[in-house]
Amino acid sequence: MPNLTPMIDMFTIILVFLLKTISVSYVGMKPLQAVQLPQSSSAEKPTRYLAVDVAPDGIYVERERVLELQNFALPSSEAQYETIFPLRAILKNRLDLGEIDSVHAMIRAHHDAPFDLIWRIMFTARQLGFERFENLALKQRNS
Amino acid sequence: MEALDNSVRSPTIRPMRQRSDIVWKHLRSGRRRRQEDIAMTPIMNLFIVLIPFLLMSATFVEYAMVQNALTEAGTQVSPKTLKLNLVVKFDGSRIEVTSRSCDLKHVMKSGERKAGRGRLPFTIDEYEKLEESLVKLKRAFPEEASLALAPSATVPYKRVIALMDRLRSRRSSDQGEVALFPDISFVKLPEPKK
Repeated sequence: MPNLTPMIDMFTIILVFLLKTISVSYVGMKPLQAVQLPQSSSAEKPTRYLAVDVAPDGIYVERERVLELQNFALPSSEAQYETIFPLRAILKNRLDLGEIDSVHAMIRAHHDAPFDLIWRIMFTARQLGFERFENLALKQRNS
Repeated sequence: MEALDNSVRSPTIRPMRQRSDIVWKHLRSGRRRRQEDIAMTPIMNLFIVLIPFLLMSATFVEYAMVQNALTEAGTQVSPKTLKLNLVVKFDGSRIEVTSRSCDLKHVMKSGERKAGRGRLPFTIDEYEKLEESLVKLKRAFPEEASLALAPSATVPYKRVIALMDRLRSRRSSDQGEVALFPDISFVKLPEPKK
């Protein structure tokens, strides 16, 4: 029978390392794969609120796509309005069901997203009572 | 001799040497069995299931949070609550710090408050100058912690976040992190008439 002791030693060390490294509180923070967050030097730790992801291909609420985008561009039917109506409908639905906190929202936007799109999302959410927005970013390492 | 031979062959009487042989054989076979009983399979199963799960769910990045509020266009900010009334306009390459109630240039020169209107222009290469100006404004208005940020529509989000970092606090080697204007509200200014 082959000697399994070194393999078990290795697995035990990897397991202990992963158990110490894993942070359960951050598990829900991870944005969509397509979203590359900007960097920030802010020391504040994020709190998990309703998450709106802004990726080049769409706007997502809790990982469900609510509107398709073409490289951050809104469809022509939505571009003329400041309010993003599909987003508004989804947020209102979730508020009516009592699923979400109606004051805070977390924005997880791709770092190349134009500010106008972010503004419209916040403007839409504000109509439903969202007052404060947490912009998720990657912690900048001090050089 | 014959009597001795007969006694060895008899099944009921076993000499000491034979009894100890049987006991010794039993002990040895038991020890071998105990070595074979150590089951590695459940431990390996556990490792092979647990480690990939932890690898997939572990996050090796640290997240930061930048908070902001939203001010609707046209919302009048009361002079009682925001005496400095600072509005920072940003179009991606130029930063303009303005005030509708305070003469900013006077504050820069003398460090004292004075009613009026003010405008301080910077470029994105002048972040240090911008921070120094904000520090002077903060010294003149220590109770003020909020400002309105008005980025242009096409400014990338990462530039907005980087500017917000500069507006919220200043890091220095001797004083550490000094709070400037951490309460930032986004505002959309009306488009200039062509």
